[in-house]
Parts: sequence; structure tokens; C-alpha cells
Amino acid sequence: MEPSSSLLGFEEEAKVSSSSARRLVPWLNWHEWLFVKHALFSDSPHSALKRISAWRSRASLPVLIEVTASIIEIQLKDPCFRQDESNDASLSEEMLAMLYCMAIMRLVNGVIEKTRKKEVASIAVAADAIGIPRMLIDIRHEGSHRELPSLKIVRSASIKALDWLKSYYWEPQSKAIPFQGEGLGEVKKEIKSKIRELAICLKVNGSAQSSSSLLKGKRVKHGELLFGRNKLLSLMVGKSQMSRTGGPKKQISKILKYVLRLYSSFSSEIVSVLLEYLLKALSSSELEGNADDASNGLTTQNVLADWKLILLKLCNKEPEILLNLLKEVLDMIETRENMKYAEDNPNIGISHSRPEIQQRDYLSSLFAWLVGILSKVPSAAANMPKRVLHELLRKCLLISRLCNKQLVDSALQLAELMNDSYLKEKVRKFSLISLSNLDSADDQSSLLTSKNILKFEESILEATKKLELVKQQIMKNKKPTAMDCDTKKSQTWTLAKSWNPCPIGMLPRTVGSSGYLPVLNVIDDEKQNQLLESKENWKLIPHGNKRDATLDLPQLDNSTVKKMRKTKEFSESNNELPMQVVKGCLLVGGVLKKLTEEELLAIESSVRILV
Amino acid sequence: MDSSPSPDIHIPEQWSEAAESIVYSSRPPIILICGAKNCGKTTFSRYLLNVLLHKYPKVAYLDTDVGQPEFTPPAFLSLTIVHKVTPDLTVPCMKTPERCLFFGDVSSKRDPSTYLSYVFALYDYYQKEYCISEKGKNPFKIELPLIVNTPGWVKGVGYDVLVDMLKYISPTHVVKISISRESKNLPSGEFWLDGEHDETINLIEINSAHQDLLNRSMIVRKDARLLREFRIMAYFRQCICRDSSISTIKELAHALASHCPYEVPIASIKIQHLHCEVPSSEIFFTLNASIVGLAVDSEGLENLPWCLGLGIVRGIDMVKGVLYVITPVPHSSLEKVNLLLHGYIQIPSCLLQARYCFTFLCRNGR
Repeated sequence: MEPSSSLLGFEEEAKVSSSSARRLVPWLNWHEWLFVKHALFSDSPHSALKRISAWRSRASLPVLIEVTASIIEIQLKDPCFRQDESNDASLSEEMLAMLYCMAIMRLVNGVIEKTRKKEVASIAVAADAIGIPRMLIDIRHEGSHRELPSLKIVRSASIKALDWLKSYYWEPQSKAIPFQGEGLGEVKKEIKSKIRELAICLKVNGSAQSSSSLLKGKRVKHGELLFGRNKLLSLMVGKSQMSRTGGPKKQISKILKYVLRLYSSFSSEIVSVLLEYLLKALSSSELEGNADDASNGLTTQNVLADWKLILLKLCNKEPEILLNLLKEVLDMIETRENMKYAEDNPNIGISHSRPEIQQRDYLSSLFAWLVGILSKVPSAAANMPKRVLHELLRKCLLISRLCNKQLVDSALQLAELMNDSYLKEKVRKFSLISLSNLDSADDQSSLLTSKNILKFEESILEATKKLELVKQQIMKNKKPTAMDCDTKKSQTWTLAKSWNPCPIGMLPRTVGSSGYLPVLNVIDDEKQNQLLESKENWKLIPHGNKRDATLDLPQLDNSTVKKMRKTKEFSESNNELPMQVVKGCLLVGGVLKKLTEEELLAIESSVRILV
Repeated sequence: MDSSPSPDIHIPEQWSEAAESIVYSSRPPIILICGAKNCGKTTFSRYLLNVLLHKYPKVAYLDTDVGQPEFTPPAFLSLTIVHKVTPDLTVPCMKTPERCLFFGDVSSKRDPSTYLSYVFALYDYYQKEYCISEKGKNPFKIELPLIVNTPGWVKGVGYDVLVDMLKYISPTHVVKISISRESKNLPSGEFWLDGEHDETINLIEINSAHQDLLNRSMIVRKDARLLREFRIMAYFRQCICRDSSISTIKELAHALASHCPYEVPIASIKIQHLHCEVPSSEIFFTLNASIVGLAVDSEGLENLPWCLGLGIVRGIDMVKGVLYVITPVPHSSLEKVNLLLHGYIQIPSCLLQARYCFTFLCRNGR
């Protein structure tokens, strides 16, 4: 009876080719493996040994790792290797020799059994083929069939064994891990090249129908528009047309898959690369044509039309990319304005340099364009939770206080997306007020007062929003009390309130389905509070981290300052009231302190992060 | 007896005669089936089940094969009450057992004593509920026949385990299936009795079904590991509602990744590692994306953790302090669960392959 999947109701699937088949391993990702490798060969391998014993219970531990751990653990018990630690319950020499011998036997058998075909090659021959030191083979033979070898011999053999294991498994495996140890610069390069490829493929695919030489020239020109005036890139575009192998659609989907796989670990890099390209495209197109205000909007559409396709494809699969792009643009606008106001003396007039104005214009038009895309991507708009859009809208309105018409328009569009007529009304009123203030923009003093008025307006808006959120929270709190009347016991097993799909083993993100890596360390008491707070801070950034999630505590300390910027947003988007107790603690100068609300606000206002 | 087996299965006359002789006994029989690996024990037990169901309204089935159980996913020892005839002898089907215990491993080799204690506990339960006691306390108890299926491990420690089982259960009928390769078979005769002869036990020795021209048994090689994975996937398929059309494994993986899980606070759950010692700081590294048995602590006699089913711990949120678990066990029964048992059951690797992200997987290498 062939074990066919149709037995249990599954359709027959084509055999998975061995190249793409993946093997189950006990570590969540390569970061964990690297941590263990690093700790194992350091001076205190205890944490690595603990982790390997956890891996052992997952029943898929490769034998090479197990044997390495055994040898290192035995060496820990050997007074010869650990002169500093005094072992009261030390093992006798006989026992130590037995342990070493067993470990070496398991090493030899474990490694060779997989590689040799029985009765074809003897163990010695097979061992030679792999390169195991002869000494280990001899010890295995001696230990199985004759007397136990002496402690001195097996001790030196253990050192040889560890060296061999490093060269046979640990080093080659760590070199084979993609993107590790090379730093983020490499990753960025890779992302850039992949996105370029994607863009080129899509462009080529789009204009694949007509094949006149005229078009070829046009393609090259478009290539330039896409990437700015870069001769190398336009050459690349030309080249890639010649050497197009395989169906273009297939290639596109392959590259897409690759980029999206990278997204789960390097989301912020991808977002920054995309932003770079978009801004470059905008600025290069400006240099080309006339800086004509009337046709500014038009050219944005045209220039970025190619990127629209790319973004649509990416955001269909992973709507979080769009959200992050929007947020990044808003952040950039905000920081620019804050920088400007920080440098401003109250007496100086509007002394913006031309590139500044231009850059701000680019950013705002980019934002408007992105919001346009958001409305076009049906899955993204539908699935994005209201809370997230609310946040975006609020931020947009806050920043648009600088009389930026484009941002106000985008805010209107965002409100449209949310299908909330009440909100729409409010935003519309707000925009009217801000537009009317535009008229009196020349008068300096009136600008200041209108700024004040705007500030009042926006604070009222904020207050209304906060009120809404509080109302929502109260409603939510009401519901469980209603339920409590029916069920006297509190339920331990409850269905999760909402769930975004994410791979098994990860936790869901607010938007999109890529998931983020969990931090699973159990640290006791004081350290736990610190970790909780840091984790909470880490969690505050809704979109991906700049670094990998499983960070050690000291690294997290450095980034708490940056994350504090987000605490304000967190308080509004937080639905869990109990956590606020911990929220009051911050790592200030490496010490956990409970801060009052005023202190928090004071810190917030004095900290301005310059991106 | 003309229960209609599926056309692919050939029931030799020896088998049907054996089944008849069992059915014609006056009192409900207790039958234990043993034999080497792949000799046809499970098939015979299914056939016998069908035959018995013609005479009795219900039949009890004690499954002690943790590697390939009949009605449950792997690693379970279970007592199931069957009342429906299995029409197709080739297709295994999932049933909810009356009582089961999560052993946590696909063979008894790591912990035979616990394995035996579980088997005895289930048998005692059967005795209490479905077997007429000599004192005749409860005249209204329905007496049911019992079929005991055993694993095919008949040498070494497995043999000792089997002997202990036979001594404890003392079945009325023992069906021993032999294959042609004598060295692989159990010893002939009543091997578990130390030379004594017990009148009440009927030993039926039959041969495996398929034999070629030279009377050599044709053993069907099964990829046991693959079968177990499919079983586990079929079990978790029950989480997704029946209406949705899932026909490929990829779809199942995606459906499970999107399925809304149960949330349970870590503080209200006990976690126990079977067969393995894990430092307390590493507990969550073992639990994340792994299969656990959902058990109720200290309810039954002798404080056995009666189990309700399997669950996949699909995520752990240390900040909120909750575990996210996917399980087909109905919500009403879940409230009793306060113990998670973590054994050596691996999660099928195909369930971990989400669209763009691979956790716990690596390309083939060393």
C-alpha cells in the first residue's frame, strides 16, 4: 500500500524536487544557530548547552551538533580544561575516559553511517573520505572491542575532534547562511539589485508586445527615468533585454518571491531602498524638465507610473510595505519641518532655500501619490485595520499644519478610504480652515497667529480622536462585563480576538502577513522587568525593526532613545490597559526608573530624532 | 460472515475461519493481536472488528501501537468504542476515543515502564466500564468485546513489553500472525506463559495474507514516517471547517497559518516535557511551533494525565504572556485542559512552509 496522500483526502501532489525540499531543524532561524555557535566555542558555553538541550527535545537535532555539545560538556567536567572551576563532585579519571570515548564513538558512527553504503566501504575507508582524523577511528575501535583507551589519549582526541567538527560542519554552515556576517550594506545592495531587476522585468514585460527599434530606444530612456541619470543602469537595461531567458512572467514572480522573503527579515531596508529610488526618480525628472508648478502633479504621475506597477505588485502581496512607505515619508516631512523650526529665529522670515522647498514638495507629492496607490490596492485598503489608518490620518493632519495643500488633500483621500462620513466631515472642515490660512501666508505676523489657530484646531481634532478611542475602549470593557454575568468562571482558553495570518512559529503583525520573530528568553525577576519594558518598546514600532528581533539586552538599550519617540503613538493605539503599569518605567541611564507623566512628556519634547 | 471488504484486500480463508471461531464464543471475547512488523495485524483487526460488529452493537478497541494507531494521531494510546462497520479496510479513519493517553513518542523504547502503565490503566478502565465483574455489581452494564492491537516490535525490549502486556491482560483469544521468515516471528506456542498452560486462552496462529509461489510472505513496505505525517495533517485538517475546500497540503498549511488560534495565558497552564529534561529557561524554545498533547492534570485514578487531543503551539507572545494554540478539540472540552505535554512528535515540515518565510527549516545540507 503506497502511502499516497489521497488516502487522507489530499490530492496527489507532484513530487517535490529534492533541491527545493527543506529539512526540519530545531532552531527558529539562523540567528539562533549563530548565537549557539558563538557561545559554544567561547569561554562559557553554558547558555549554548542549555539551548542545545532544548533543541534535543524537538527531535530533529543534527548529530554533529549533538556530538559537539557532548564533547564540550565533557570538557567542562574535566579539571584539565577548567582550572578555574573547582569541582567538588569531580569524576574519576576512569569515568571521564569513558565519557570521552563514548562521545568519540558517537561522532564517528554518526557521521559515517550517513555517508557510507554498508559493506561497500569499511569504516576506515569511509572515514578517510570525509577526513576524520585517524586517531578518532582508532579510539572508536579500541573502545568498542578492546580496553578503554587512556584519559590522556582521549583528551587530546577530543581537542582534535572539536577542531575537525569546526572545519567539517560549523564553519562551512555559517558561511552558507545567506546575508549573515556581512552587515546590512550587503543586504541593501542585494535588495537594490533585486528591485532593479524587478523593475526592468516589469518594464520589459509591459512593452513586450511591440518590438520596434524605436521602442528599444524608449525603453532605455525609461530606464533612465526610473533610476535617474545613471549610465551604468541604462546599459544594464539594454543588456538585460538581450539576455532575457525564461518567460518574463515567471522571472517576475521569482524575483517577487525573493524580495518578499527578504522582507520578513529586512523590512526597513526594503522600505528605505524603495524610498530612495522614488525620490531619485522624482528629483531627476525635475532637473530634466521645467519646474512648472502647474504641470507638477502631472509629471509626478508620469514619472512614477513605472514604479506604480512595481509597488502595486509588491503591495498586493504584502500591504505592509505601502503602510511603511507612507509612514516613512511622513516622518521625513516632519523631521525636515522640525529641523527648520529649530533653526528658525523668530525674526527671520521665510528663508527657505530652493532645494529645501523642492525636497518638501517632492515628499508631499510622493505622499499624495502613495495614498493614491493605497486606494487602488483593494486588498490593502480593505484589510488595513481602522486603527492604522486613523494613525496615518492623524499624523498627516498634524504635519499639514504647515499649510501644505497637498498633504491636506491626501488627508481627505485617506478619510475617504475609511468610509467614515463623520470623520470625513471633520477633515473637510479642517482642510477648509487651513486653506483659508494659506491666503494670508505672506504676512509674517498673520502666519504666526494662523499657526496658533491651526495648532488649536489640530489639538481639538486630536482631542476628538482621543475621545473616540476612549469611547471605543469603554465599549470594549463593557462587553466582557456583560459576558461575565453569563459565565461565572473566567475562561482560560479563549479565541484570539483578531488574527493576521503569519507563518507558524512567528507572531502576527498588524498589517500584512509576514509575521515577526518572537523573543522567547525567560529572564528572572529584575531582569525580566527590564526585558519586558525593552520588549514593549521594541514592539512599539509597528513596522519591522532595523535589526533582527532576537536582540540581546545591551543592544536594545541603545535603541530605547529612538523608540521613545513612538511612545505617544503607542498610548493611543494601545488597547490593553493593564500594560500601562509597566509603561511608566523607562531605562534611563541603564537603570529602570518609574517616571511620572510629566517627566515622560518633558523627555519627549526635548528629544527630537533627526533621521 | 459476509462483511464486504474492499476489493484490494484479500482475506484468506485462514483469517475468516479465525474470525468466525472468535465470534462464536459465548462470552464477549478479549482478543489480542500480535506479530512482526507489517504482517497484517491492523488489517486483520479491522476485519475482525467488522465481523464482531455483526453480533455485538459496539466493540471496544484498545490501541497500543503508538507508531501507527488506528483511530488517533501517532503517539497516543487509546480506548475507542466502535459502533460503525468500516466499509473500506484500506482507509484509516479518525475517531474520538473514549479515553486516551499521550505517550509522546512513536515507539515504547525510551520509556517502556510508563508505556506499560498507560496500557494497564486503559485496560483497567475497560474492565471497570465494559466488563462484567465477578461480583456482578452493576447488572445493567453492557459487556463489550475488546480487541487489543499491538506494535510490531517483537524482539528485545519490545518482546518483553509484549509479554508483560499479555500477562496483565490475560486475553481470551490471542491471534498470532506469522510471516515466512521465521527469525522475525514471535516464538511459537504460548510464549508468554512460563511453561504453564492456561486452559482459558485460545491461541490462534495464522499466516500473513500475501504469499508468493514459494510461500514467502510479501511484506508491503510502508514509509512509516510519511504515514505519520499524513495522519497528523489529517488530524489538524479537522480544525478548518468542513465546508472550505482544501485539497492540497499547501492549502492546508496556508489555512492553518491563517486560522485564528486559541489564546491561553502561560500562567494558567502547566508544561511537562516527556522523555527529556529541559532547563526552565529554554521551555519556550522547545514549545514554539511544536505539537503538544492537551491533557487534564490529576483527574483520573493514579493521577494519570487523561488527554483530549493534540494542539500546535503556533506562537508564543512573551509580552502578553500567552500561548497561541491551534487544535480541533472543541472549545467546551478545552476548558478542562491545564497541562501541555511535549514529547518527541515533530511537526510536519510542510506545515511550516508559509508563502515567503521559512521558520525551522533549512535547505538540505548536513
